[in-house]
Amino acid sequence: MDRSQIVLAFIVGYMLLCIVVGLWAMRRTRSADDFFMAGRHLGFIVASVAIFSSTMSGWGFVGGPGLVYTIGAGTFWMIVSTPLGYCVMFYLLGKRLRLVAEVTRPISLPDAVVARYNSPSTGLLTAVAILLGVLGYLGTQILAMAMVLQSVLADVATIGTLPLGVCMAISSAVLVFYCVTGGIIASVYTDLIQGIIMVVAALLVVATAVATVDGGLGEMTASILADDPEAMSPWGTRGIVGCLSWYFVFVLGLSGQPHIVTKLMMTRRLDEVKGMFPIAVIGFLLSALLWISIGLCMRTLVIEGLHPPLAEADLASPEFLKTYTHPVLAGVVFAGLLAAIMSTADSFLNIGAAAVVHDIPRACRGRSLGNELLWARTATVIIAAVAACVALASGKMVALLGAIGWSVFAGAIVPTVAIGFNWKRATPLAANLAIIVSLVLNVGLQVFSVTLPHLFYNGALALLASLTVFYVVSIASPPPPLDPEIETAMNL
Amino acid sequence: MSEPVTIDRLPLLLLIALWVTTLGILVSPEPEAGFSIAHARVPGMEQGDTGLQRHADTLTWSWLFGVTMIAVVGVLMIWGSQSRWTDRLGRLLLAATLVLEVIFTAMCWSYRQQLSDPTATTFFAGFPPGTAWQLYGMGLAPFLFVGLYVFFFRQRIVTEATASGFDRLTDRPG
Repeated sequence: MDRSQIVLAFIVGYMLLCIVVGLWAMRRTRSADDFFMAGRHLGFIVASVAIFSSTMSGWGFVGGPGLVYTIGAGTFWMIVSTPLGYCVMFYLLGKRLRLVAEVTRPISLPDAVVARYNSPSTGLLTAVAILLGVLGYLGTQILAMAMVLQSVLADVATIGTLPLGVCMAISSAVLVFYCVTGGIIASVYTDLIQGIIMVVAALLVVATAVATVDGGLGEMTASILADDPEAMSPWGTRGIVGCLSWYFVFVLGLSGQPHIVTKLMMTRRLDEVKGMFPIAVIGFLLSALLWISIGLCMRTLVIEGLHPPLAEADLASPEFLKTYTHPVLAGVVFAGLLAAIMSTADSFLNIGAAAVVHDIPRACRGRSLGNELLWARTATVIIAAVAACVALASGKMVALLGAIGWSVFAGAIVPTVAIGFNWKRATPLAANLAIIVSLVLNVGLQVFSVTLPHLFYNGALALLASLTVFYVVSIASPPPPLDPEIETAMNL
Repeated sequence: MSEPVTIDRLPLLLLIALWVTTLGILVSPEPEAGFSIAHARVPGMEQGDTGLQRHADTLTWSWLFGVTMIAVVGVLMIWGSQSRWTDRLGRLLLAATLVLEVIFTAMCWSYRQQLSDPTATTFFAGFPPGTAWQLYGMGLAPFLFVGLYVFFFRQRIVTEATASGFDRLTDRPG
C-alpha cells in the first residue's frame, strides 16, 4: 500500500466505525426524548468528551493552524479562552440546566427556555437564532468535510480529483446516516470515538512538528520572532484590541453555544458534572496542541524557505500531514480532522432538527408535530441537504453565517440562558430584546462589512449590547411570575 | 450575616466599566499603518507593524478592558456557585480571579518590556515572556477554578440539600 492508500484506509475505517455506532444507537432510540436528549442517560465520560469534541470543530483543526500561519500567536487567544469559558459554563449552568431539565423534561434548549420564561415567543426567538446559526455552521462543516475528503482522494492514483459535490455527498451520507438512525445517542458516542482520535492525533502531531524543525519549539518561535516580533507576541498581527475582544466573546460566549450546553441536560445524575468539568477542559487543551504545533511549524518552514508559501492558509494542516508525517500518522490525523468536523456537525444537525420539528411548531401552533421521531429523522436529512446545497451554491452566504454563528449564539443565548436561568428577575421581554439585538447587530455588521476601529470584534460589541439590554430591561420591567417548580429548581 | 453576591448590585458597575473601556478603545486614534499588514515576502501571510506604533494609544485601555472582563468572569462564577463574599469558596474564587488578573497584567507588562527591543528577548519554555504568560498562565490558570469546583462540589455546588431537592423533584427515593 502506498501513502495515499494507507490514509484512505484509515478514513474508510473511521467512517465504517461511525456507521456501526449509528446502527447500534438506532436500537436505543425509541422516542423523541432518546433522539434529542439521549434519554438523559449519559455518564460523565461520554458527556464530557462529547462537550470538548463538539467545541473543537473542524474550524479548530483546519482553520486554527491556518490562522496561526497567517496571524501568528494572536490566535492562541481562541485556545486559552476555552478553558475559562468552560469554567463560566459549568459554574453557571452545570447544575442549573440539569435541574431545570429534570423539572420540565425539555427535548431541546428552546423547550427549557419556554418553561423558564413561560413565554412561547422567547422559545421561538431562541429557536430561530439557533436555526440561523446552525445553517451557517453546518454549511461550513459540510464544506470542510468535503474539502478534506477531496484532498485525500486526489492523492489516490486510481481515484483522482473528484468534484466537490461528490465528496460532499459521500461524507454527508455517512454523517446523515448515523444522525438519522441514532440521533443524539449516535452523535455523542461517535463524539466519544472522535474525541479520543482527536487527542491521540494531536499528541502525535506535536511530536512530529517538534521533530520537523531542527531545534524544535524554541527554534520555531525564535525564527518567527526574528522575522516579525509582533507575530510571536501575544497579540499577533491583529493587535491587542482584536485579540481581547475575541477573548471576551469566546470566554463568555461558550455558555451560549447550544450544541455544547444542551449536553449538560443529558446526564444520568446531577453529580455527573463534577467529573465532566475537568475532563472537558483537559481534553480540549490536549486536542488544541495540534492547532498550535502545526500552525507554528508551517509558518516557520515557509518563513525559512523550507516549504513553498501556502496557496491558502487552510491548507496548513493538509500540507503538513501530506509532507512531514508518517503515512500511518497522516491516516490517524486525517481521520481526526474528519472526526473534529463531524463531531460538531452532528450536534448541529440534532439541535437544528429539534428547532424545526419541535420548537418552532410548538411556539407557532401550541403543540409539536405528531410522530416526532419520524419527523425528526426526516428533518435531519432535509437540514443536511439544505446546508449542503447552500454551501455549494453560495459559499459566501455560508461563510457569512459561519463567521457570525458563534457570536449570534453568544449574544442571544448567554443572557437568556446562562444569566436568565440563574436570575429570577430576568423577564421574557428582556430575553426577547436581547436575542433581537444580537441577531440585528451580528447580521447587520457582517452584511454591511463594518470593521470597528482597532479591529474590535463585531461579535464582542453585539454581546455587550445584548447583555446590557437584557439587564436594563429586566430591571425596568415588572418581576415575572415564576412557575413554582422552576423556582424550586432555581433555588437549589 | 452577609448577603450572597447578587447580580442586582454589581452588574451595573461592571457593564458601565465594560462600556467605558470599550468606548475608550474605539475612540482612540488608529495607527497609521493599520493592522493585518501583508507580509513583506510571503503572500497570504500577515505581519505586525512595530508594537509601539500599533499599541501606543490602546495598551492602557485594552489592559483596563481585560481586567474588567476578568472581573466579570470571576463575579459570574462566584454568583453561579451561590457563594458569599465571606464564605470559603467565595473567598477562594475571588483569590483565583485575582491570580488571573495578576497573570493578565504580567503578560501585558512583559509585552510592554519586550517592545523596547523586540528581537533581543529571552525565552521561557519555548516562548517569549508575553506569549509564555498567555499560553501557560492564561491557558492554565482556569484549572484553579476547576479545582475549586471539584473540591467544593459536595460542600457548595451539589450539597445534600440540592441532591435531596433534586430527588424530590423527580419523585425518586433518596
